[in-house]
Amino acid sequence: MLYQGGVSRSIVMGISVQNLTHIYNYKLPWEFKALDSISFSVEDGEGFAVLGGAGSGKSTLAQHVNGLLFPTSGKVIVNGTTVKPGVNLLELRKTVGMVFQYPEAQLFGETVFEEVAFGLRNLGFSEEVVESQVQEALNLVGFMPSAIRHRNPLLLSGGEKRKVALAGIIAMKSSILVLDEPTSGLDIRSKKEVLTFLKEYRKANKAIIIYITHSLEEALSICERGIILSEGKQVYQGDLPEYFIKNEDWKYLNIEPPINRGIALTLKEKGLKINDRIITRLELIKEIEKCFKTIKT
Amino acid sequence: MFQNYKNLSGYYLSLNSVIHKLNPQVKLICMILLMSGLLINYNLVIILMYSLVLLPAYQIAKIPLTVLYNSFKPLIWIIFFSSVAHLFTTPGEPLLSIGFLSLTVEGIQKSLILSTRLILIIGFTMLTSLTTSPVNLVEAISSLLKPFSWLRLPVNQFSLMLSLSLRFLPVIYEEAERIKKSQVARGANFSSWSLKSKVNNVVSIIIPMIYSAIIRADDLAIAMEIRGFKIGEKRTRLKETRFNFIDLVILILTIIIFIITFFL
Repeated sequence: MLYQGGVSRSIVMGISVQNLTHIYNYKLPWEFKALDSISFSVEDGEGFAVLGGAGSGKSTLAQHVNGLLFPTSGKVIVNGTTVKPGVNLLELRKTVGMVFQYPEAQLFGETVFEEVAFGLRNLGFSEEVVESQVQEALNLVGFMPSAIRHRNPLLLSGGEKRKVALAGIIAMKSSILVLDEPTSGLDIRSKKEVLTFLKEYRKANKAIIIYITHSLEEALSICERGIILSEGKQVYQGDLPEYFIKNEDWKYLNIEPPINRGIALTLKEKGLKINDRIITRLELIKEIEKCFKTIKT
Repeated sequence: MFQNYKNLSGYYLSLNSVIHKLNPQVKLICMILLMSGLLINYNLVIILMYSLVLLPAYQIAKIPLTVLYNSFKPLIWIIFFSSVAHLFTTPGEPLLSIGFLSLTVEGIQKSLILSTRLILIIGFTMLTSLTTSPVNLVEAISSLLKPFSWLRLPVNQFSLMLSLSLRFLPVIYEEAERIKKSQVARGANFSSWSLKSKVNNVVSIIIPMIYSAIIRADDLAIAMEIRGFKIGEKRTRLKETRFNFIDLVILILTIIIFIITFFL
Protein backbone atom coordinates (compact mmCIF):
# COMPACT_ATOMS: atom_id res chain seq x y z
CA MET A 1 0.00 0.00 0.00
CA LEU A 2 1.33 3.43 -0.89
CA TYR A 3 0.78 6.27 1.55
CA GLN A 4 1.48 9.46 -0.36
CA GLY A 5 2.24 11.98 2.38
CA GLY A 6 4.09 14.35 0.07
CA VAL A 7 3.81 15.43 -3.54
CA SER A 8 6.47 14.82 -6.16
CA ARG A 9 7.79 18.22 -7.15
CA SER A 10 9.79 19.29 -10.17
CA ILE A 11 12.83 21.19 -8.91
CA VAL A 12 15.95 22.71 -10.43
CA MET A 13 18.22 22.76 -7.35
CA GLY A 14 18.05 19.59 -5.36
CA ILE A 15 17.29 16.00 -6.20
CA SER A 16 14.36 14.64 -8.15
CA VAL A 17 13.86 10.89 -8.54
CA GLN A 18 11.18 9.93 -11.05
CA ASN A 19 9.87 6.37 -11.40
CA LEU A 20 13.30 4.92 -10.69
CA THR A 21 13.57 1.20 -11.33
CA HIS A 22 16.83 -0.70 -10.99
CA ILE A 23 17.32 -4.29 -12.06
CA TYR A 24 20.62 -6.02 -11.35
CA ASN A 25 21.85 -8.41 -14.07
CA TYR A 26 19.14 -7.10 -16.38
CA LYS A 27 17.85 -9.59 -18.98
CA LEU A 28 19.77 -12.48 -17.44
CA PRO A 29 17.93 -15.45 -15.87
CA TRP A 30 19.02 -14.35 -12.40
CA GLU A 31 18.02 -10.69 -12.82
CA PHE A 32 16.91 -9.05 -9.60
CA LYS A 33 14.64 -6.03 -9.25
CA ALA A 34 16.16 -4.00 -6.42
CA LEU A 35 14.04 -0.85 -6.93
CA ASP A 36 10.57 -0.58 -8.39
CA SER A 37 9.16 2.80 -9.55
CA ILE A 38 10.54 5.02 -6.80
CA SER A 39 9.65 8.72 -6.95
CA PHE A 40 10.52 11.54 -4.58
CA SER A 41 12.18 14.93 -4.52
CA VAL A 42 14.45 16.71 -2.07
CA GLU A 43 14.90 20.46 -1.98
CA ASP A 44 18.01 22.46 -1.15
CA GLY A 45 18.96 22.36 2.53
CA GLU A 46 16.52 19.55 3.32
CA GLY A 47 17.20 16.41 5.34
CA PHE A 48 15.61 13.36 3.73
CA ALA A 49 15.60 9.88 5.23
CA VAL A 50 15.51 6.59 3.35
CA LEU A 51 14.14 3.99 5.74
CA GLY A 52 13.79 0.26 5.30
CA GLY A 53 14.97 -3.10 6.50
CA ALA A 54 17.86 -5.16 5.13
CA GLY A 55 17.50 -5.85 1.40
CA SER A 56 14.86 -3.16 0.88
CA GLY A 57 16.94 -1.34 -1.77
CA LYS A 58 18.17 1.61 0.32
CA SER A 59 21.82 1.35 -0.71
CA THR A 60 20.95 0.78 -4.37
CA LEU A 61 18.88 3.96 -4.29
CA ALA A 62 21.75 5.90 -2.70
CA GLN A 63 24.21 4.88 -5.41
CA HIS A 64 22.01 6.40 -8.11
CA VAL A 65 22.40 9.90 -6.67
CA ASN A 66 26.19 9.73 -7.06
CA GLY A 67 26.19 8.11 -10.51
CA LEU A 68 27.66 4.86 -9.18
CA LEU A 69 24.63 3.10 -10.65
CA PHE A 70 22.36 4.17 -13.48
CA PRO A 71 18.59 3.56 -13.63
CA THR A 72 17.25 0.62 -15.63
CA SER A 73 14.26 2.90 -16.21
CA GLY A 74 13.16 6.23 -14.79
CA LYS A 75 15.19 9.33 -14.03
CA VAL A 76 17.44 10.76 -11.34
CA ILE A 77 17.99 14.51 -11.63
CA VAL A 78 20.61 16.20 -9.43
CA ASN A 79 20.68 20.01 -9.49
CA GLY A 80 18.99 20.01 -12.90
CA THR A 81 21.35 17.41 -14.45
CA THR A 82 20.01 13.98 -15.34
CA VAL A 83 22.33 11.26 -14.02
CA LYS A 84 23.03 8.99 -16.98
CA PRO A 85 26.06 7.45 -18.71
CA GLY A 86 28.02 10.17 -20.46
CA VAL A 87 27.40 13.04 -18.00
CA ASN A 88 30.39 14.64 -16.31
CA LEU A 89 30.57 12.31 -13.33
CA LEU A 90 33.53 14.13 -11.77
CA GLU A 91 31.44 17.31 -11.61
CA LEU A 92 28.55 15.31 -10.12
CA ARG A 93 30.85 13.82 -7.48
CA LYS A 94 32.04 17.31 -6.55
CA THR A 95 28.41 18.10 -5.73
CA VAL A 96 27.39 14.78 -4.19
CA GLY A 97 29.51 13.32 -1.40
CA MET A 98 28.79 9.75 -0.44
CA VAL A 99 29.59 7.86 2.74
CA PHE A 100 29.15 4.11 2.51
CA GLN A 101 28.36 1.70 5.32
CA TYR A 102 31.56 1.02 7.29
CA PRO A 103 33.49 3.73 5.41
CA GLU A 104 36.63 2.90 7.38
CA ALA A 105 37.04 -0.07 4.98
CA GLN A 106 38.14 2.41 2.30
CA LEU A 107 41.11 3.80 4.29
CA PHE A 108 44.49 3.31 2.65
CA GLY A 109 46.52 6.51 3.11
CA GLU A 110 49.87 6.46 4.91
CA THR A 111 48.72 9.33 7.10
CA VAL A 112 45.36 10.80 8.09
CA PHE A 113 46.21 13.89 6.04
CA GLU A 114 46.87 11.85 2.87
CA GLU A 115 43.64 9.95 3.43
CA VAL A 116 41.45 13.04 3.77
CA ALA A 117 43.25 14.78 0.88
CA PHE A 118 42.61 11.85 -1.54
CA GLY A 119 39.22 13.06 -2.77
CA LEU A 120 40.29 16.70 -3.04
CA ARG A 121 43.35 15.81 -5.13
CA ASN A 122 41.21 13.61 -7.40
CA LEU A 123 38.91 16.56 -7.97
CA GLY A 124 41.88 18.69 -9.04
CA PHE A 125 42.13 21.18 -6.15
CA SER A 126 45.42 23.03 -5.65
CA GLU A 127 47.70 21.98 -2.76
CA GLU A 128 46.88 25.18 -0.79
CA VAL A 129 43.16 24.49 -1.04
CA VAL A 130 43.78 20.83 -0.12
CA GLU A 131 45.77 21.87 2.95
CA SER A 132 43.17 24.33 4.22
CA GLN A 133 40.13 22.11 3.49
CA VAL A 134 41.71 19.05 5.13
CA GLN A 135 42.48 21.12 8.25
CA GLU A 136 38.92 22.43 8.30
CA ALA A 137 37.37 18.98 7.81
CA LEU A 138 39.48 17.41 10.57
CA ASN A 139 38.48 20.26 12.85
CA LEU A 140 34.81 19.83 11.98
CA VAL A 141 34.72 16.14 12.86
CA GLY A 142 36.27 16.95 16.24
CA PHE A 143 39.98 16.24 15.73
CA MET A 144 42.93 18.44 16.58
CA PRO A 145 44.47 18.53 13.07
CA SER A 146 48.08 18.97 14.25
CA ALA A 147 47.77 15.98 16.59
CA ILE A 148 46.25 13.54 14.13
CA ARG A 149 47.43 14.50 10.63
CA HIS A 150 50.61 12.39 10.70
CA ARG A 151 49.06 9.30 12.31
CA ASN A 152 48.40 6.06 10.41
CA PRO A 153 44.62 5.86 9.80
CA LEU A 154 44.65 2.05 9.98
CA LEU A 155 45.90 2.18 13.57
CA LEU A 156 43.11 4.42 14.88
CA SER A 157 40.12 3.20 16.91
CA GLY A 158 36.84 2.26 15.14
CA GLY A 159 35.16 5.59 15.96
CA GLU A 160 38.23 7.60 14.95
CA LYS A 161 38.49 5.73 11.63
CA ARG A 162 34.84 6.50 10.91
CA LYS A 163 35.47 10.19 11.60
CA VAL A 164 38.51 10.22 9.30
CA ALA A 165 36.39 8.62 6.54
CA LEU A 166 33.68 11.25 7.12
CA ALA A 167 36.29 14.03 7.06
CA GLY A 168 37.43 12.70 3.65
CA ILE A 169 33.96 13.40 2.26
CA ILE A 170 33.29 16.59 4.16
CA ALA A 171 36.58 18.09 2.95
CA MET A 172 35.12 18.01 -0.58
CA LYS A 173 32.49 20.53 0.64
CA SER A 174 29.69 18.76 -1.18
CA SER A 175 26.31 20.46 -1.21
CA ILE A 176 24.63 17.04 -1.14
CA LEU A 177 25.66 14.33 1.32
CA VAL A 178 24.41 10.78 0.89
CA LEU A 179 25.04 8.76 4.04
CA ASP A 180 24.49 5.02 4.04
CA GLU A 181 24.00 3.98 7.67
CA PRO A 182 26.98 6.07 8.81
CA THR A 183 26.61 5.16 12.48
CA SER A 184 26.34 1.38 12.17
CA GLY A 185 28.76 -0.42 14.48
CA LEU A 186 29.62 2.71 16.47
CA ASP A 187 29.33 3.03 20.25
CA ILE A 188 26.69 5.39 21.69
CA ARG A 189 29.10 8.28 22.23
CA SER A 190 30.58 8.15 18.72
CA LYS A 191 27.08 7.76 17.27
CA LYS A 192 25.94 10.90 19.08
CA GLU A 193 29.01 12.82 17.93
CA VAL A 194 28.48 11.84 14.29
CA LEU A 195 24.78 12.74 14.39
CA THR A 196 25.43 16.10 16.06
CA PHE A 197 28.12 16.88 13.53
CA LEU A 198 25.84 16.04 10.59
CA LYS A 199 23.08 18.21 11.98
CA GLU A 200 25.45 21.16 12.31
CA TYR A 201 26.96 20.54 8.87
CA ARG A 202 23.52 20.62 7.29
CA LYS A 203 22.61 23.87 9.03
CA ALA A 204 25.90 25.63 8.35
CA ASN A 205 26.15 24.65 4.67
CA LYS A 206 22.44 24.50 3.82
CA ALA A 207 23.32 21.08 2.46
CA ILE A 208 20.95 18.34 1.41
CA ILE A 209 21.42 15.24 3.54
CA ILE A 210 20.07 11.91 2.35
CA TYR A 211 20.25 9.70 5.40
CA ILE A 212 19.87 5.97 4.89
CA THR A 213 18.99 3.98 7.97
CA HIS A 214 16.68 1.39 9.51
CA SER A 215 16.28 3.43 12.68
CA LEU A 216 13.61 6.11 12.76
CA GLU A 217 15.14 7.61 15.89
CA GLU A 218 18.33 8.43 13.98
CA ALA A 219 16.46 9.58 10.90
CA LEU A 220 14.36 12.01 12.93
CA SER A 221 17.42 13.60 14.51
CA ILE A 222 18.51 14.83 11.07
CA CYS A 223 15.54 14.65 8.69
CA GLU A 224 11.94 15.85 8.59
CA ARG A 225 10.71 13.94 5.60
CA GLY A 226 11.57 10.61 4.14
CA ILE A 227 10.71 7.56 2.15
CA ILE A 228 10.05 4.04 3.43
CA LEU A 229 11.09 1.11 1.27
CA SER A 230 10.18 -2.54 1.48
CA GLU A 231 11.54 -5.11 -0.98
CA GLY A 232 12.39 -2.36 -3.44
CA LYS A 233 8.93 -0.80 -3.35
CA GLN A 234 7.96 2.59 -2.01
CA VAL A 235 5.67 2.07 0.97
CA TYR A 236 5.42 5.69 2.12
CA GLN A 237 6.76 9.10 1.28
CA GLY A 238 6.34 12.23 3.38
CA ASP A 239 6.31 13.33 7.00
CA LEU A 240 7.90 10.53 9.05
CA PRO A 241 6.40 11.08 12.54
CA GLU A 242 2.96 11.26 10.89
CA TYR A 243 3.48 7.82 9.33
CA PHE A 244 4.57 6.21 12.59
CA ILE A 245 1.62 7.72 14.47
CA LYS A 246 -1.04 6.84 11.93
CA ASN A 247 0.13 3.41 10.82
CA GLU A 248 1.06 0.10 12.32
CA ASP A 249 2.58 -1.68 9.32
CA TRP A 250 6.13 -0.52 10.19
CA LYS A 251 6.16 -3.54 12.51
CA TYR A 252 6.45 -5.76 9.45
CA LEU A 253 9.06 -3.67 7.63
CA ASN A 254 12.04 -4.36 9.92
CA ILE A 255 12.26 -0.72 10.93
CA GLU A 256 13.16 0.33 14.45
CA PRO A 257 10.22 2.42 15.79
CA PRO A 258 10.79 5.65 17.71
CA ILE A 259 11.99 4.63 21.17
CA ASN A 260 9.23 6.60 22.94
CA ARG A 261 6.51 4.94 20.88
CA GLY A 262 8.09 1.58 21.73
CA ILE A 263 7.91 2.36 25.48
CA ALA A 264 4.29 3.50 25.19
CA LEU A 265 3.35 0.34 23.31
CA THR A 266 5.01 -1.87 25.95
CA LEU A 267 3.22 0.01 28.76
CA LYS A 268 -0.08 -0.45 26.92
CA GLU A 269 0.59 -4.16 26.52
CA LYS A 270 1.23 -4.33 30.28
CA GLY A 271 -2.29 -3.00 30.88
CA LEU A 272 -1.68 0.72 31.35
CA LYS A 273 -4.31 2.93 29.70
CA ILE A 274 -1.92 5.04 27.68
CA ASN A 275 -2.14 6.70 24.29
CA ASP A 276 0.62 5.04 22.26
CA ARG A 277 0.37 7.42 19.29
CA ILE A 278 3.35 9.49 20.37
CA ILE A 279 6.83 10.23 19.03
CA THR A 280 8.67 12.68 21.29
CA ARG A 281 9.95 12.24 24.83
CA LEU A 282 7.77 15.16 26.00
CA GLU A 283 4.63 13.47 24.70
CA LEU A 284 5.61 10.27 26.50
CA ILE A 285 6.18 12.10 29.80
CA LYS A 286 2.80 13.82 29.48
CA GLU A 287 1.07 10.50 28.80
CA ILE A 288 2.74 8.84 31.81
CA GLU A 289 1.77 11.80 34.01
CA LYS A 290 -1.84 11.45 32.83
CA CYS A 291 -1.76 7.76 33.74
CA PHE A 292 -0.43 8.51 37.23
CA LYS A 293 -3.19 11.08 37.77
CA THR A 294 -5.85 8.56 36.71
CA ILE A 295 -4.38 5.92 39.02
CA LYS A 296 -4.35 8.42 41.97
CA THR A 297 -7.96 9.44 41.44
CA MET B 1 23.77 -3.70 -2.07
CA PHE B 2 26.18 -5.87 -4.00
CA GLN B 3 24.06 -8.00 -6.28
CA ASN B 4 26.57 -8.01 -9.09
CA TYR B 5 28.85 -10.76 -7.83
CA LYS B 6 27.17 -13.12 -10.28
CA ASN B 7 29.05 -11.23 -12.97
CA LEU B 8 32.17 -12.75 -11.49
CA SER B 9 33.51 -14.83 -14.31
CA GLY B 10 32.82 -18.53 -13.82
CA TYR B 11 31.05 -18.16 -10.49
CA TYR B 12 28.52 -20.92 -9.75
CA LEU B 13 24.98 -20.25 -11.00
CA SER B 14 22.42 -22.17 -9.03
CA LEU B 15 20.00 -23.32 -11.73
CA ASN B 16 18.00 -26.51 -12.04
CA SER B 17 19.36 -28.59 -14.91
CA VAL B 18 20.64 -32.09 -15.68
CA ILE B 19 24.21 -30.82 -15.86
CA HIS B 20 23.88 -29.11 -12.49
CA LYS B 21 22.72 -32.40 -10.99
CA LEU B 22 25.58 -34.49 -12.40
CA ASN B 23 28.09 -36.01 -10.03
CA PRO B 24 30.82 -33.34 -9.57
CA GLN B 25 33.59 -35.93 -9.90
CA VAL B 26 32.14 -37.06 -13.24
CA LYS B 27 31.91 -33.45 -14.40
CA LEU B 28 35.53 -32.83 -13.45
CA ILE B 29 36.74 -36.01 -15.20
CA CYS B 30 34.71 -35.14 -18.32
CA MET B 31 36.15 -31.63 -18.37
CA ILE B 32 39.71 -32.97 -18.05
CA LEU B 33 39.11 -35.53 -20.83
CA LEU B 34 37.56 -32.98 -23.21
CA MET B 35 40.29 -30.42 -22.59
CA SER B 36 43.00 -33.04 -23.01
CA GLY B 37 41.35 -34.18 -26.25
CA LEU B 38 41.45 -30.63 -27.58
CA LEU B 39 45.09 -30.20 -26.58
CA ILE B 40 46.28 -33.55 -27.95
CA ASN B 41 44.82 -33.40 -31.43
CA TYR B 42 43.07 -30.69 -33.41
CA ASN B 43 41.64 -30.19 -36.87
CA LEU B 44 38.45 -28.75 -38.33
CA VAL B 45 36.40 -31.93 -37.75
CA ILE B 46 37.51 -32.26 -34.12
CA ILE B 47 36.75 -28.59 -33.47
CA LEU B 48 33.28 -29.05 -35.00
CA MET B 49 32.64 -32.18 -32.93
CA TYR B 50 33.65 -30.47 -29.67
CA SER B 51 31.56 -27.38 -30.58
CA LEU B 52 28.59 -29.69 -31.08
CA VAL B 53 29.19 -30.95 -27.52
CA LEU B 54 29.71 -27.56 -25.91
CA LEU B 55 26.84 -25.53 -27.37
CA PRO B 56 24.03 -28.01 -26.54
CA ALA B 57 25.63 -28.48 -23.09
CA TYR B 58 25.13 -24.76 -22.37
CA GLN B 59 21.53 -25.05 -23.61
CA ILE B 60 20.89 -28.03 -21.33
CA ALA B 61 22.52 -26.22 -18.39
CA LYS B 62 20.18 -23.25 -19.09
CA ILE B 63 23.14 -20.88 -19.14
CA PRO B 64 22.78 -18.07 -21.71
CA LEU B 65 25.68 -17.72 -24.14
CA THR B 66 26.07 -14.09 -22.99
CA VAL B 67 27.62 -15.52 -19.80
CA LEU B 68 30.13 -17.42 -21.94
CA TYR B 69 30.82 -14.28 -23.95
CA ASN B 70 31.44 -12.30 -20.73
CA SER B 71 34.03 -14.89 -19.72
CA PHE B 72 35.92 -14.38 -22.99
CA LYS B 73 35.94 -10.60 -22.75
CA PRO B 74 39.19 -10.35 -20.76
CA LEU B 75 40.85 -12.83 -23.16
CA ILE B 76 39.62 -11.31 -26.39
CA TRP B 77 42.95 -9.56 -27.10
CA ILE B 78 44.97 -12.73 -26.45
CA ILE B 79 42.74 -14.67 -28.86
CA PHE B 80 42.96 -11.84 -31.40
CA PHE B 81 46.76 -11.52 -31.33
CA SER B 82 47.33 -15.28 -31.44
CA SER B 83 44.97 -15.52 -34.44
CA VAL B 84 46.73 -12.65 -36.27
CA ALA B 85 50.14 -14.23 -35.55
CA HIS B 86 49.04 -17.57 -37.01
CA LEU B 87 47.33 -15.84 -39.94
CA PHE B 88 50.60 -14.38 -41.23
CA THR B 89 53.25 -16.82 -40.01
CA THR B 90 51.85 -20.14 -41.27
CA PRO B 91 53.64 -21.33 -44.40
CA GLY B 92 51.47 -22.36 -47.37
CA GLU B 93 49.80 -21.08 -50.52
CA PRO B 94 49.89 -17.25 -50.35
CA LEU B 95 46.66 -15.36 -50.95
CA LEU B 96 47.99 -11.88 -50.22
CA SER B 97 51.50 -10.56 -49.50
CA ILE B 98 52.33 -7.42 -47.48
CA GLY B 99 56.13 -7.01 -47.38
CA PHE B 100 57.64 -10.11 -45.82
CA LEU B 101 54.26 -11.18 -44.38
CA SER B 102 51.96 -13.36 -46.44
CA LEU B 103 48.40 -14.39 -45.76
CA THR B 104 47.93 -18.07 -46.58
CA VAL B 105 44.94 -20.41 -46.83
CA GLU B 106 46.61 -22.64 -44.24
CA GLY B 107 47.11 -19.56 -42.03
CA ILE B 108 43.38 -18.72 -42.14
CA GLN B 109 42.50 -22.34 -41.31
CA LYS B 110 45.02 -22.58 -38.47
CA SER B 111 44.09 -19.25 -36.89
CA LEU B 112 40.38 -20.16 -37.02
CA ILE B 113 40.99 -23.60 -35.53
CA LEU B 114 43.35 -22.37 -32.80
CA SER B 115 41.14 -19.49 -31.67
CA THR B 116 38.05 -21.75 -31.63
CA ARG B 117 40.06 -24.35 -29.69
CA LEU B 118 40.97 -21.73 -27.07
CA ILE B 119 37.30 -20.65 -26.85
CA LEU B 120 36.23 -24.29 -26.47
CA ILE B 121 38.76 -24.95 -23.68
CA ILE B 122 37.54 -21.87 -21.79
CA GLY B 123 33.93 -22.90 -22.51
CA PHE B 124 34.36 -26.37 -20.96
CA THR B 125 36.13 -24.95 -17.89
CA MET B 126 33.42 -22.34 -17.43
CA LEU B 127 30.67 -24.93 -17.85
CA THR B 128 32.14 -26.97 -14.99
CA SER B 129 32.53 -24.02 -12.63
CA LEU B 130 29.17 -22.46 -13.58
CA THR B 131 27.28 -25.69 -12.89
CA THR B 132 29.17 -27.02 -9.84
CA SER B 133 28.95 -25.34 -6.46
CA PRO B 134 32.33 -24.51 -4.89
CA VAL B 135 31.70 -27.03 -2.08
CA ASN B 136 31.04 -29.84 -4.58
CA LEU B 137 33.95 -28.78 -6.73
CA VAL B 138 36.37 -28.93 -3.81
CA GLU B 139 34.92 -32.28 -2.76
CA ALA B 140 35.44 -33.62 -6.26
CA ILE B 141 39.01 -32.32 -6.45
CA SER B 142 39.93 -33.76 -3.05
CA SER B 143 38.42 -37.16 -3.85
CA LEU B 144 40.35 -37.25 -7.13
CA LEU B 145 43.51 -36.29 -5.24
CA LYS B 146 42.94 -38.94 -2.55
CA PRO B 147 45.43 -41.43 -4.03
CA PHE B 148 48.17 -38.85 -3.37
CA SER B 149 47.58 -39.10 0.40
CA TRP B 150 49.22 -42.54 0.20
CA LEU B 151 52.37 -40.65 -0.71
CA ARG B 152 51.83 -38.67 2.53
CA LEU B 153 50.98 -35.51 0.64
CA PRO B 154 48.72 -33.09 2.65
CA VAL B 155 45.59 -33.63 0.51
CA ASN B 156 43.17 -32.72 3.35
CA GLN B 157 44.93 -29.45 4.09
CA PHE B 158 45.02 -28.65 0.38
CA SER B 159 41.27 -29.27 0.05
CA LEU B 160 40.54 -27.11 3.09
CA MET B 161 42.69 -24.32 1.68
CA LEU B 162 40.92 -24.63 -1.66
CA SER B 163 37.43 -24.66 -0.14
CA LEU B 164 38.17 -21.60 2.02
CA SER B 165 39.59 -19.74 -0.97
CA LEU B 166 36.54 -20.54 -3.08
CA ARG B 167 34.18 -19.76 -0.21
CA PHE B 168 35.66 -16.29 0.19
CA LEU B 169 35.92 -15.48 -3.50
CA PRO B 170 32.50 -13.76 -3.74
CA VAL B 171 33.06 -12.03 -0.39
CA ILE B 172 36.38 -10.63 -1.56
CA TYR B 173 34.84 -9.68 -4.90
CA GLU B 174 32.03 -7.79 -3.16
CA GLU B 175 34.53 -6.12 -0.85
CA ALA B 176 36.66 -5.02 -3.83
CA GLU B 177 33.54 -3.65 -5.55
CA ARG B 178 32.53 -1.76 -2.41
CA ILE B 179 35.99 -0.27 -1.90
CA LYS B 180 36.17 0.67 -5.58
CA LYS B 181 32.80 2.42 -5.35
CA SER B 182 33.92 4.26 -2.19
CA GLN B 183 37.03 5.54 -3.98
CA VAL B 184 35.03 6.43 -7.12
CA ALA B 185 32.66 8.42 -4.90
CA ARG B 186 35.76 10.35 -3.77
CA GLY B 187 36.58 11.23 -7.36
CA ALA B 188 38.96 8.37 -8.24
CA ASN B 189 38.93 7.89 -12.00
CA PHE B 190 39.59 4.24 -12.81
CA SER B 191 39.26 4.78 -16.53
CA SER B 192 42.08 7.32 -16.61
CA TRP B 193 45.04 6.47 -18.91
CA SER B 194 47.57 8.35 -16.78
CA LEU B 195 50.07 5.92 -15.23
CA LYS B 196 50.37 7.95 -12.03
CA SER B 197 46.62 7.97 -11.42
CA LYS B 198 46.38 4.27 -12.39
CA VAL B 199 49.00 3.33 -9.77
CA ASN B 200 47.36 5.60 -7.20
CA ASN B 201 43.93 4.10 -7.85
CA VAL B 202 45.16 0.50 -7.69
CA VAL B 203 46.88 1.26 -4.36
CA SER B 204 43.62 2.76 -3.06
CA ILE B 205 41.95 -0.63 -3.59
CA ILE B 206 44.76 -3.06 -2.81
CA ILE B 207 45.78 -1.70 0.60
CA PRO B 208 42.25 -1.80 2.12
CA MET B 209 41.75 -5.24 0.53
CA ILE B 210 44.93 -6.71 2.04
CA TYR B 211 44.14 -5.12 5.39
CA SER B 212 40.62 -6.57 5.51
CA ALA B 213 41.80 -9.96 4.18
CA ILE B 214 44.35 -10.23 7.01
CA ILE B 215 41.71 -9.30 9.59
CA ARG B 216 39.23 -11.76 8.07
CA ALA B 217 41.82 -14.57 8.00
CA ASP B 218 42.67 -13.90 11.63
CA ASP B 219 38.98 -13.96 12.64
CA LEU B 220 38.42 -17.16 10.67
CA ALA B 221 41.39 -18.91 12.28
CA ILE B 222 40.12 -17.97 15.75
CA ALA B 223 36.54 -19.02 14.87
CA MET B 224 37.80 -22.42 13.61
CA GLU B 225 40.04 -22.98 16.61
CA ILE B 226 37.34 -22.20 19.18
CA ARG B 227 35.09 -24.73 17.44
CA GLY B 228 37.71 -27.43 17.90
CA PHE B 229 39.24 -27.55 14.43
CA LYS B 230 42.45 -29.59 14.25
CA ILE B 231 44.71 -29.85 11.19
CA GLY B 232 45.06 -33.38 9.84
CA GLU B 233 41.96 -34.83 11.53
CA LYS B 234 39.80 -37.10 9.38
CA ARG B 235 36.62 -35.32 8.34
CA THR B 236 33.21 -36.63 7.39
CA ARG B 237 30.85 -35.05 4.86
CA LEU B 238 27.37 -33.67 5.47
CA LYS B 239 26.14 -34.83 2.05
CA GLU B 240 27.57 -37.79 0.18
CA THR B 241 27.47 -37.45 -3.61
CA ARG B 242 25.90 -40.29 -5.60
CA PHE B 243 26.88 -41.89 -8.87
CA ASN B 244 23.70 -42.26 -10.97
CA PHE B 245 22.91 -43.87 -14.31
CA ILE B 246 23.02 -40.51 -16.11
CA ASP B 247 26.55 -39.95 -14.73
CA LEU B 248 27.60 -43.28 -16.22
CA VAL B 249 26.07 -42.38 -19.62
CA ILE B 250 27.79 -38.98 -19.71
CA LEU B 251 31.12 -40.49 -18.66
CA ILE B 252 30.95 -43.21 -21.35
CA LEU B 253 29.97 -40.66 -24.04
CA THR B 254 32.87 -38.41 -23.06
CA ILE B 255 35.33 -41.32 -23.13
CA ILE B 256 34.04 -42.24 -26.62
CA ILE B 257 34.54 -38.64 -27.83
CA PHE B 258 38.02 -38.63 -26.30
CA ILE B 259 38.96 -41.89 -28.05
CA ILE B 260 37.49 -40.72 -31.40
CA THR B 261 39.72 -37.63 -31.19
CA PHE B 262 42.79 -39.82 -31.72
CA PHE B 263 41.41 -41.30 -34.94
CA LEU B 264 40.29 -38.06 -36.64
